[in-house]
Amino acid sequence: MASQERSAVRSALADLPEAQRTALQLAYFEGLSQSEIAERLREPLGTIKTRMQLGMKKLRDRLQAFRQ
Amino acid sequence: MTHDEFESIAALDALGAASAEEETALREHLRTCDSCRRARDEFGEAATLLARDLDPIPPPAEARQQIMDNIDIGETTLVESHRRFGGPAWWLATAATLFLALWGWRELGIRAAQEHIKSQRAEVQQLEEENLRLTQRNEKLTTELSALASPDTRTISLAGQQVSPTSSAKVFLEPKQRRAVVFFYNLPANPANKSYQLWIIRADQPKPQSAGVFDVTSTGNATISIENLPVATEIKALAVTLEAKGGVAQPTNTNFYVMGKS
Repeated sequence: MASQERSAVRSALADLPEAQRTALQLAYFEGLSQSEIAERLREPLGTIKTRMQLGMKKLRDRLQAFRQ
Repeated sequence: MTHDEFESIAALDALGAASAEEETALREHLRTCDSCRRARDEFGEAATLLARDLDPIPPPAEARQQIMDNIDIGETTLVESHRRFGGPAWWLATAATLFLALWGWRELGIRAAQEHIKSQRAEVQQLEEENLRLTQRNEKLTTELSALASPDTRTISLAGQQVSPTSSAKVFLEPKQRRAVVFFYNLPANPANKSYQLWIIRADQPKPQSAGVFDVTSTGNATISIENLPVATEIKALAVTLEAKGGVAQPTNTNFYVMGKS
């Protein structure tokens, strides 16, 4: 079950647009704040925030769907 | 702020990427909103799975330098770093807690097993001692039985005397093996500081010889085995007196409890 769950998350990650995945990685593994990510990627803060929120919601939804 | 907006903040918070203001507002809101709290938990779970499945990207050189610089700055920077790394830190803390719990559980298991082994060893030792005691008892009974069953066995009856008329005893004497088994019946319980002593009166010696010291049970009965009997000469009589605890070299009185002639 755990491996299937892991597989589902991996698949969901693969399905994320590159920009959303990058934003999540920078936040999660580098611990960067929204503004720091925006600065790093030279994108507006609102755009970065939206990408991260959309990416997390897709991951959550995929996980919920897998469990149901 | 709407629930959707709080939910969006919750998504960022799970990543440790929410701003301080957003974080404060979210915490306040979560106190009273079950649906947003549930959303926050779901995002937190998704973030945990991220930790397992995303390949960490190496930090760029400038970020590494920034971290090294921050180490030398005071408490304010530490607080800021905590905020930055607060997201990843919570799952690290969770992992560490889980590890410690598992380690503690394992230690507990080892201690319980050690206690169990210790208890088992004590039980084995106790059983070995009991086995030894029963083996010795069995050998004694076998010896007594062979003394009783031998065709050469002679019996001598001892009758109760004036101090204890209802008492009696039976001696099973096996001359070839120079041993005897004596059963005593209805003797009064001896005081704690006294013992009964069996005496053999021989034809070749004027003084009685001790054949054994014994105590009686609450029923007044007792059994003793006598080895190395002086059967080369005639046994004229046997008698029992009450003496000091542990016995004496010669009888100190003539108050015989049981007595019989051979």
